[in-house]
Amino acid sequence: MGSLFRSEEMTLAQLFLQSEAAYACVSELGELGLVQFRDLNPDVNAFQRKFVNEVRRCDEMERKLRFLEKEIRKAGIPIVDTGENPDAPPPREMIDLEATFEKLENEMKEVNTNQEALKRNFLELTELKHILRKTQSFFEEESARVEDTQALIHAEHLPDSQPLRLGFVAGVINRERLPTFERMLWRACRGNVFLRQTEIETPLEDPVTGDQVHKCVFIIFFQGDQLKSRVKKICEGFRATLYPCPETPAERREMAIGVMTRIEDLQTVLNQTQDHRHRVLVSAAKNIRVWFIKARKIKAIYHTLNLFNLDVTQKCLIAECWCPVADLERIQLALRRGTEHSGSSVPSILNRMTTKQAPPTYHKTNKFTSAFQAIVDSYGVASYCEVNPAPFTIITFPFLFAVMFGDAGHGLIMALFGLWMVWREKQLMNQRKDDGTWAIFFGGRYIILLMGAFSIYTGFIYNDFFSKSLNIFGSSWSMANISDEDIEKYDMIELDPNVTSIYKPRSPYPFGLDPIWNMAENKITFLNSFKMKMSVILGVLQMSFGICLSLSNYRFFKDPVSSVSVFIPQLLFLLCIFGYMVAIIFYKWIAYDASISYKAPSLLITMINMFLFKFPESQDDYLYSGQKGFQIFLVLLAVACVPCMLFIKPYFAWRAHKSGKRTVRFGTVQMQVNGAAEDTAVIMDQDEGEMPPPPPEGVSGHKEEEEFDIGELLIYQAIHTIEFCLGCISHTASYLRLWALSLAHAQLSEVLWSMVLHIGLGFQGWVGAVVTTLVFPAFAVLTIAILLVMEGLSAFLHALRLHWVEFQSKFYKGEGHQFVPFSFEALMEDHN
Amino acid sequence: MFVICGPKLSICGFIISIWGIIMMGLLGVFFLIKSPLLLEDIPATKADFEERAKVDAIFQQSAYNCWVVAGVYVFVGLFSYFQMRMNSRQQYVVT
Repeated sequence: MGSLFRSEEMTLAQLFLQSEAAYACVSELGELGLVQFRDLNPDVNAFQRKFVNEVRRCDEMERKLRFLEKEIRKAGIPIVDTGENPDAPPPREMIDLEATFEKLENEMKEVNTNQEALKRNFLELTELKHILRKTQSFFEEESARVEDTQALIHAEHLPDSQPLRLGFVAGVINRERLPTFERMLWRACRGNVFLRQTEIETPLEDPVTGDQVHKCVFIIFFQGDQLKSRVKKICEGFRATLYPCPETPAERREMAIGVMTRIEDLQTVLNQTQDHRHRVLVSAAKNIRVWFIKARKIKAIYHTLNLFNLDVTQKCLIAECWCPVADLERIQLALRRGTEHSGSSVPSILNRMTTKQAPPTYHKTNKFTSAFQAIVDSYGVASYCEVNPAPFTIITFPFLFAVMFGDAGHGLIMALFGLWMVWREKQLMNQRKDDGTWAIFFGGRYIILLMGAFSIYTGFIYNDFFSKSLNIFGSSWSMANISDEDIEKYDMIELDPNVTSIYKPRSPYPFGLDPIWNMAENKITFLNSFKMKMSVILGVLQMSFGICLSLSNYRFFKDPVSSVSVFIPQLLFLLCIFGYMVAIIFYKWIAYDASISYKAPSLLITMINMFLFKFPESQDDYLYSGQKGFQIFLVLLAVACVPCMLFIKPYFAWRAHKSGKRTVRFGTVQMQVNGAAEDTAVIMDQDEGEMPPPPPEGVSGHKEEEEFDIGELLIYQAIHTIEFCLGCISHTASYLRLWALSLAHAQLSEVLWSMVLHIGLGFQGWVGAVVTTLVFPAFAVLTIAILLVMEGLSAFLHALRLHWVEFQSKFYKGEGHQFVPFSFEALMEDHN
Repeated sequence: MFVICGPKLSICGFIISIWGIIMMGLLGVFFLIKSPLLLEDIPATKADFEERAKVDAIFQQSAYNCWVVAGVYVFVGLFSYFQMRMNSRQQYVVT
């Protein structure tokens, strides 16, 4: 059963692992990626599990690694990804790793703190340097002013004329804070202080954040101690740093020289610190990928080990897992390898168990089929061993897309795009992993390729290349014998296919639509009829196929009652009404030719009359002889199917319940009735047919049976029957979207040609070339944006809807859960 | 040599040029063989349709126009390809 048609056969297995060997075995199973572990301690808190300490240590390691990674990224060192995949290291190596990370982290932290302190020092010195430079000019001005004021005061002969010594403070403040600072000073000191400021041109680096800030040098002159303290407080408030500035120019010059030397020394030290840090980070960057992988693997293993149960003897661990039957050999091999690695002598045991639980669904897909399987799974994961629509979707989905897209030129562009992505698969996979939209397109590259290829095919059938038709085989219509006066007189000429000179009888255009329709006024009227009928035909075909797949399901699950009482009436109902409609569509196409087409009865009226039991009088309005009797038979048959669908299955269920044996299944595999302890650990084949005999103390089991409610069954069946019957009609009509979208696409394409490219071609002489050169890129961009992306997405969506609702509702339950194996590969992909 | 267009613009330009060369080339051929489906796309007035020869001449002119456009796009394509090379080389130098 190893194919895409149904889920792989899954079995619940019990693993008995020696405590020493458990780690290595889980590591091997993680590399293999074929088992899904069950949590055997569901009610145990995360902090009470057995290996919580190890998980904590792993978390700590990951935190240190993340810190290192952040530092490496900040320093701009590229992290090289060698693509190597190291195995999970044994537990004793974990201690070594922890020590290494600890050392690195401490070193980094130390270096960072030192660097910060050095930078702060450097900043102070730089600010001091600027202050000393700028304040030179202030003091020269000030001395002049002091002389002025001194002259004034002397003139006034103040009684207590103390020598006016202006005190000052010098400092540095953020440029943004300066205006407010000035205003505050002015207000607080009542205008008795004098502030001079200039800007420092080069921005200074803030030691903590590393940002560049602009600062200004200021100097405040004041008189008296009160003002001094007030000024100092305000400076503190505005976080301006004050520096001691000597008063005499000579001292200032000395200080400046000293500061310069100190700055130079500090710069050297800073450079060396930077180099050292860089070296440490570079050496860490070489290994950080590998370390991350190792740390994550260890953590994953310990998380898994936490799911296990400890045996009574405390010597071995018990695990329960789901695994595919076909791969049991490989799992056994992996377990043996693990036990060998750990050096334990006792082999690990794998026991198959039977259970009533529904196994997870597992489909083995490759890179081509996985995209289609993903589409199907988006609607609902297949119930265990149900028919999987994916293999059919591979063909029908691109086909229905193409029916709605239907332009060979656009299909070619799409197919080329898909082809490029498939061709450059390996390169593109390594390149871009971050962009979400691109990831979606790249993941569906095979779908895009197929959709494009099928669109080229339907483009040939609709004879549509960027809205123009190609005349490859020679049109079957000819205007050769139309008189010249007729051409002059009339704006529009009607070509009658009955006339042999116009249309050669029985020689239609070999493949696709005749190119003359591109020029015809009634092109859309003609195509409408054709496309609508085609949509309905495709719809009825796909739905009947869906119903046949449901038969496959009933036969697999050994449900003969359903096969007879559900499948046959459903199929008959569909075929009697809509299958008959498809048949008369084909009949009308074949039986009526141009000479008698005016007499052909309308199919829609025929169908309506069929249900109203209204029959025309004249013989002409019948499609074929015996139509009356046949149609009455079909309607009665279809109506007779409805009570079959409603009553037969509940009747059988009721009868079986009375006789005590349950052979009828409602829905899928029954959910687990008994507890986990009741699962028998006997090695036997998983049999889906007969239920295992009820357990001896099956009081609960009997109670379930006694509560068998015929009313509930009838309602369930009635709902499904009504859903099916009404669904037949509505789904058939729903397939008309195939017609609607292809019409929309053709019209959009035509509009784009006639409104955009036509402008370029419509200019006389060589001007046309110039204009076309400018117009063509606009045409190209609009084609891609509107017709490829927008229409493509639209057709994709509608084709998807047709599959999910109209096709899958006929047979698909989709109530399963996905098989998610414990796999390191999947883990690494998640983190990336 | 210096970079005028960025990486994305040059790739776009390259693709549109290839498309333009192929499509305009084919369109030129179809104009030359006087495909009736392109009758509405030629710059001819109702008066022009009186003479067969005039319509043929217009068809030919349109064909030549298309080929001129194809020729222009050959140059645009080469330029875009050249820019693509410059851009990818610049990427290597920076890293």
